[in-house]
Amino acid sequence: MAEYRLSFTKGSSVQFLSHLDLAKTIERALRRADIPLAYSEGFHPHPKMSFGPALAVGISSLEEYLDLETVIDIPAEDLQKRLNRSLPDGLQILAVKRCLKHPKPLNAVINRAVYNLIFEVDPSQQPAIVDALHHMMDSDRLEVTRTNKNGQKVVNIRPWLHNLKTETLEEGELQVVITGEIGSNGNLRPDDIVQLIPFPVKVRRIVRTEMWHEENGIIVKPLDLC
Amino acid sequence: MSEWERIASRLVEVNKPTRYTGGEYNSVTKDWDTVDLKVALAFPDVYEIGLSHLGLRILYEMINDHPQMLAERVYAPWKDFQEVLRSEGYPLYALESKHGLKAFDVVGFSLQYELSYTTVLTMLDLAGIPIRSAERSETDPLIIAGGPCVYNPEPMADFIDLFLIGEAEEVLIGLFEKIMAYRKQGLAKARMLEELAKLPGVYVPSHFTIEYKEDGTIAGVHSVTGQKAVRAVVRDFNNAPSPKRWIVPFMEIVHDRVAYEIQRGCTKGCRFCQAGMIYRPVRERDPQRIMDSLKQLVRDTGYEELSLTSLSSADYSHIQRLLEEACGCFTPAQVNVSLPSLRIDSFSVDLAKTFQSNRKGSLTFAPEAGTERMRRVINKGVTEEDLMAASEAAFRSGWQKLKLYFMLGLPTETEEDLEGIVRLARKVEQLGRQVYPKTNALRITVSVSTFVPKAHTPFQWHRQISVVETREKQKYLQDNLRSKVVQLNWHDPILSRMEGIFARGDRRLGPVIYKAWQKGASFDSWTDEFKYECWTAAFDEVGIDPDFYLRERSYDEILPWDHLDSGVSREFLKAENERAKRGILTADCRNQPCTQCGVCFNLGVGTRLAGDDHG
Ligand code: SF4
Repeated sequence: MAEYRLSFTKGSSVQFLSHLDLAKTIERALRRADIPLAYSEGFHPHPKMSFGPALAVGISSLEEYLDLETVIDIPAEDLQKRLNRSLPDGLQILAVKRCLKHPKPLNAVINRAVYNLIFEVDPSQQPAIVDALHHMMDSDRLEVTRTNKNGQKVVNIRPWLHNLKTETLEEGELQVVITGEIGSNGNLRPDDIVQLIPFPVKVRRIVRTEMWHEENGIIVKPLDLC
Repeated sequence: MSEWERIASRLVEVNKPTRYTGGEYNSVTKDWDTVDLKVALAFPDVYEIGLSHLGLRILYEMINDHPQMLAERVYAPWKDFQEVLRSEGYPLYALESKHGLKAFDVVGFSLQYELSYTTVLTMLDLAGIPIRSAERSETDPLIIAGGPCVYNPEPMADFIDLFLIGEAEEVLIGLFEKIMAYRKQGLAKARMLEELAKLPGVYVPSHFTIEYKEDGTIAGVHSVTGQKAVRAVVRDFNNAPSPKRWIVPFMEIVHDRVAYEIQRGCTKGCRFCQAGMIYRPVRERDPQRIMDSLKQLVRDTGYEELSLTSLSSADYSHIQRLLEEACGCFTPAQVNVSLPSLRIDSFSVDLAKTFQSNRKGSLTFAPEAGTERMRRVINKGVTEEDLMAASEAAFRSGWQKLKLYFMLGLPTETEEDLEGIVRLARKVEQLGRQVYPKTNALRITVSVSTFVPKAHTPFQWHRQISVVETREKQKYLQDNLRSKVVQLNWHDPILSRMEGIFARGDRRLGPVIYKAWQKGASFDSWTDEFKYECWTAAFDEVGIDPDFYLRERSYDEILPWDHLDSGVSREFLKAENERAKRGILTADCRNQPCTQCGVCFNLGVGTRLAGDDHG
């Protein structure tokens, strides 16, 4: 038995895979790569594989995380090479670390995520939109409506918005980079920001670019936590 | 932003977006500009149904293996995505290169069930291709179709340029090579079709004219070119291509597993069964070849389940050995092995025990009819003892759920036969209660469907029962069958009625399909989407009585598909129908003498069992 922590990309060609689809896809890729996953005991054995914070369908990512357990000990570089050869386009393993002891689950350690949003906007409204975005960092409350199966509720997302930067790429094209809370203490969703812009914008692309653990201003990457 | 990216950015709005993105592992995107022939393989239903279909996978690989050709896939977009395409002005595209269908040289539809016909029209329309063959120009792709429905393709004759009848893998590449050559020569489409019609399996409907009598029946069929259309058949099935680079979808599909065809054809001779007539004779693959292929497929797909498919897998000569070997090889690697169809005997239950360590699912048996007499009529030589023995074996082996399949409205059916269904189900229930006196989990599901007479079967002359009759029979079963243990399922009788009209329809139905589609009919096989009012209005406007197609036919009548040769002779079908009336069984030529259906002689092919000719 050996445990590994992996970081990987989820490119735009696979950004519509649900969490479940992604798990299946990686499980099958591991089988193709002849990397025998460990399975749980019992009537319905399931693979010992757990992902970091889920990514909404339609968002691509430059940095996702996955922990898995194999039946045999494989050198980390070897695992990376073999798995990359058998993954579909868009999924690529960036790094693999062999864990020395059973690590704390990814979902328990990761509490920050960075998103890069590209908007198409009406050029005449662009300065006002940029202003509105910057104003968010100065406000005390930012209320958005979230819909779930129990109905709608209003949430204040301000405590979860840690940073926001804008950049005009060209006329009518705006880039916004946000750093937000993720995990058990709250979740900032890229959608929240879109909702808070008081003008119509067209979302062209959203990419999750980074995730980490942050405590008292100190940043640690998940691969350094195992 | 590229045109395609614009579509991609709107995929968040639709249900199941991976239906429309392509990029699955083992899909092939060949260089668009360096090939001479581009083929779109189209399935007129949603992705998860279309990709579950084995036939198109075989053709996809064969075409892509050809250095001068490429094949891409396209499935019917659901309504939400149709809206996106229409609002963005983007044509229906193939998943690999995202080219609109109009950019292809050939679009080939797979017609697996009659109720997908209007969806073909939807797809052509979304692609911006004129719907009727007669309206298409030289620059439009050639629209072809294959699949079991094309054994009576007449209702679709207005829309399809060329039908490929039979087992396409035998003739497809040859056909496409010809098309490439003719295009190089600059041959016009009409001339090209004349040449192509000479190839086996090819049927060009516009080369045939049909005359009708006053009573609406066919007076004569005239072949303009003098060509006949004869079914294509795979002669060396053992060595015939099978998919190797099996596409692994991202989303869950209907048959979410690797399927490997261990044999083709079934000669048990059930008289209602079209598959049992049109895929003759039996041709088995060698076990060693099967095992090698399975290992390669599991290695190159990473799939967690594989299925040994065929029309009657339990009949495969070495099935026990093969299953044991496959399970021994794959179960330790967490890969499940399954058989799709079981016979009604304890041997089959033993087989199921080999591969189903988990008995929580159900086992399915298909007695098809409720009495011994009726089963003799349909040539299903299964006795009540067989069913009881199989059920008992299943219960004793741990299964608590059984499914029993029956048909309503079979020729000569009487009340007694309906009672027989009730009696059989009750007997199986009692047996279950004996084995499991205490459990609440015991379930017997009785599934009934309406018998739909199909072309090229011994029952092609029979009448199909009406919706009212079906409902009466269903009601009888409902009143007499339901219990805590027995559950009754049935197929919507109106859908069976529509299926029956097209299964034995002629080309006068083309305008009806067109009209119904214009009125909004599409995805007709989806109960929630089916709009009967579109169809009744279309029949009215065209002035066609649909019941004309459901009536009994006499042996003298020219049937709309009589000019298509399936290899099975009309004499054989007739003789079988006569034997049915007298309740005489006909043996299976798999391991008994030839019963003279004509296929082997007419098509130059033979039954082939594994082990017959090794090496
Ligand atoms: S010709 Fe004879 S052997 Fe061949 S499929 Fe028909 S019945 Fe069987």
